[in-house]
Parts: sequence; structure tokens; C-alpha cells
Amino acid sequence: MRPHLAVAAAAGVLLSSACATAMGLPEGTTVISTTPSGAKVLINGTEVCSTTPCNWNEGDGLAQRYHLQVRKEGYREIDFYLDKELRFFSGFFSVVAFRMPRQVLLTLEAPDGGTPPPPAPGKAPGL
Amino acid sequence: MLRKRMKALALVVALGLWPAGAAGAPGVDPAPVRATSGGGWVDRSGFGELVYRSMLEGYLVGSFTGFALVDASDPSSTLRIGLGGVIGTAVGLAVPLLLSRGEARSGDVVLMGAGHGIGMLNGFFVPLTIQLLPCSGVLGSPACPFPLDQSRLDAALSAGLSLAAGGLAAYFGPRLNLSPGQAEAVGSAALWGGVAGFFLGTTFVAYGDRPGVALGTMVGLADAGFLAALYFRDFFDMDRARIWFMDLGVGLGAGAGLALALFISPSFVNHTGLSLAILGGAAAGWAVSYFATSGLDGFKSSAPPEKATAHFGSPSIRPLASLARGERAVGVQIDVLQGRF
Repeated sequence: MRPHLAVAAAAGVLLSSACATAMGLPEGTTVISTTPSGAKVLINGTEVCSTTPCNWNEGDGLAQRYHLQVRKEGYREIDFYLDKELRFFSGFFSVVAFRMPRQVLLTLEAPDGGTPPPPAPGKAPGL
Repeated sequence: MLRKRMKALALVVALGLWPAGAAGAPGVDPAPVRATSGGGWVDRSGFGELVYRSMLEGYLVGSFTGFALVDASDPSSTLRIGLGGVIGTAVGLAVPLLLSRGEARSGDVVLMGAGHGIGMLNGFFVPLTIQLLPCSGVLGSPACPFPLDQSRLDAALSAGLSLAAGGLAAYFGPRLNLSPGQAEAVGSAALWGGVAGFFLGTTFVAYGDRPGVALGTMVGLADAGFLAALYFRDFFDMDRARIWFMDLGVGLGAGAGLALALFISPSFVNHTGLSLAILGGAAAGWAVSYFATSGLDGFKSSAPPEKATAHFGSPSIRPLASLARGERAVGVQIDVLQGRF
């Protein structure tokens, strides 16, 4: 009985880990995408991405807030703060943890008076 | 026998897979949209924390209410404490899930939690301090009898005041528009003030001699810390992790101060000396963690100054032309006060 239980438990753990890894990028990595693509992304004043879409890793993970600026010529600059959020079951060993969002989707808008670009199909306007 | 084994196997596999299923279930991950308030965007970065804090608050309020309803003549009525906690947790889970539709900013949620905490602290310790003021011995001793009805009253007041203060914080939070760090500092400053107040009280009078003194100064300085952090919120506009490190610094520093005092003199039992050692250690821990974590404030490096400023610079003169009600006017404008509002 006991060997069966041990094997079953180990299989469960392995399958859980495999599922968690297959779900996406490593923890701490955020995919930044814009509509239209090709925007420059600055985080805390440092350029981390010259053309979207791109991946950004937060590094040591200690900071809880980041300042994001997204710029593209001909479009209004997007400037906002990205706060970590409390997430439940964010990993196999963490029931609750503060994490960065896995994805940031932004829609760039034309400056006032200009003609807004047509929205990409299948994406909601705004953030 | 085989069927029992198969059942056990299925149970173990199900338990093993449960975290993966939970993590992969739709609705667990936050929506892939990030936002800031204003501009028609809805910021819900604090929703997960709202659920957690609401459940915690529900558990505490439910348990305290259950305690307030305990009947000394009926031992089975203590069951109400546990049941109150369960019911409160369920209500705490349901309220944000059903009612939270608009913004759920992290800063507002953290401030609401701080409000709950300070309300609970005041509701419990203010009446307790008043009850203990005549006492001249440790709680429960003949010199300081403490009937159950008194603590039931404290628990009831604590639960009520916690809900009221949390509600007020939730109402005023969006108007204050605090960052998560600022809101965290408000709650933590109450904690730092409470620690300082308690040991400041025991510096003068030993806790066992007059427990009301230490508890009174604890509540007083906790409230003062809460209000001071709100007033000096620009100073505390820092990364939330810095505040957590300062909490850790206060706790470890207090422990280190006590350990150092006892290391120097293991037989040292003077309450004034030990209290001062703890206070000094906590202050040192706070200062070390404050200065050591300044690198976490990277989010401010690229941000424009948020504060409204005005100053008298060198007066500048510029020509001015205007068109009002169809009439052209030409003049000279002199700028004296320059500012950012």
C-alpha cells in the first residue's frame, strides 16, 4: 500500500510541476504587448524594450512597484505605475504571493486632434 | 480490499493534482490588463488583496462577535467563537466577489486593511486600558480580577469599530489616492507606534505593576503613528517592500536590543533598562532598514515630482495678446509666482 501511495503522490507532484511550467514563462517575466506593435518601453526610466512585443524580467523580485512609460512616434505616451498584486496559488509551493502580471496589453492612442488608429481585431480598446 | 486501494490511490492523485488544477483554472490568474486610475481605465490590481483582507477581517470580526456572545453559564456556547469565524470568513469572501465591480486599487485596499486594524486595536485596547487602570497586578491576579463580561465587551467594541474604521478608510481611500507604499506605511506606523508606546510605558512602570499604563501608551502612540504617517505621506511615498523591511527591522531590532542587554548582564531584570534596550534596538533596526533599502525606490527615478509646488522665481515679462468678446487686447504679462499644481 505505501509504495503505491508514494508513487501516486510523486506522480501528482510531477504532473503539477509539469503543468505549471507548461502554462507559460518563468515567474517574474512579463510579456509587454502594444497595439500597434513597435513601441519603446521604459521601466523606471531605463529602456528595457526597443520594440514591442517583448519580455521583461523583474530581476530579484523585491520591488513591488514599477514606473512604465510606453512611447511610439505619432501616438500618445502611456505613463503609469505597475503594482504587484496578491495572487492565490501562484506556484506549487506558494499559496499566496505578490507577483507581477504575466501580460501587459496596451492600446496606443493618437494624440488629441489626430485620427485614432483602427483597433486591432479581437482586442478591447484601452488597457 | 482492491477497491479500497484504488479509492486511496485516486484520492492521492487528486490531492497531488489539486494545486495544478487550481493554478490553471480560469479566473485564478488576473486579467491581462494593467491600468492606472483615470483616463477611463479601471485599476483592479488590488482585487486579490481585497479578497484576502476581506476574508481575514471577516474571520476576526466573526470570531470576536462569537466571543462577545459567549455565555459563561453555558460551556457549549464557546462553539460560537469558531462558528463566528467560519461565517465571517464566508461573508468576507462573498462581499468582494459579489460587490466589487469598479476600481480596486492596491493603495485603497491596503488603507482599508490599515483602517480595520487600527479600529480593532482601539476597540479592544481602549476599553481594556480603562478597565485595567485601577489594577495593580498582572491580569487575572487577585489584584487585577478580570471577569469574562468585561472582555466580551472589549471584543464586541473591537469588532464594531474595526468594521466602522475599515468602512471609513474604504470611503476616503479613493480621495486620498495613496500609493500602496504610503498606505502600507500608515498601517505599519501604527505598529511601530504601538511597539514604541508599549515599551515606553514599561520604561516608567513595570507591566505587572500597572498594566493599564503600558497598554494606554501603546494605543496612544499607535494612533499617533497612524495619523503621523497619513500626515507625512509624501515622506512615505516609497516602495511597499521598504515598509515590510522596516517592519522586519523593528521586530529584529527589538529582539536584538533585548538580547544585547541580557548578553551584557544575564541577570539584568530592571524593567526600565530592558525597555530602553528594546526601544533602542527597534529604533536602530528601523533606521538600518530605512537606509539599506533606498535602492527599492526605483519607480521614483523617472517620475516627475507629484507634489504641488509654488515658488517666487525671477519675475519674467512677456507680451500678451487676447481676443475677448470679439475685441482684441494687447498687454504685458508679468509672472511673479511660478508653480506646479
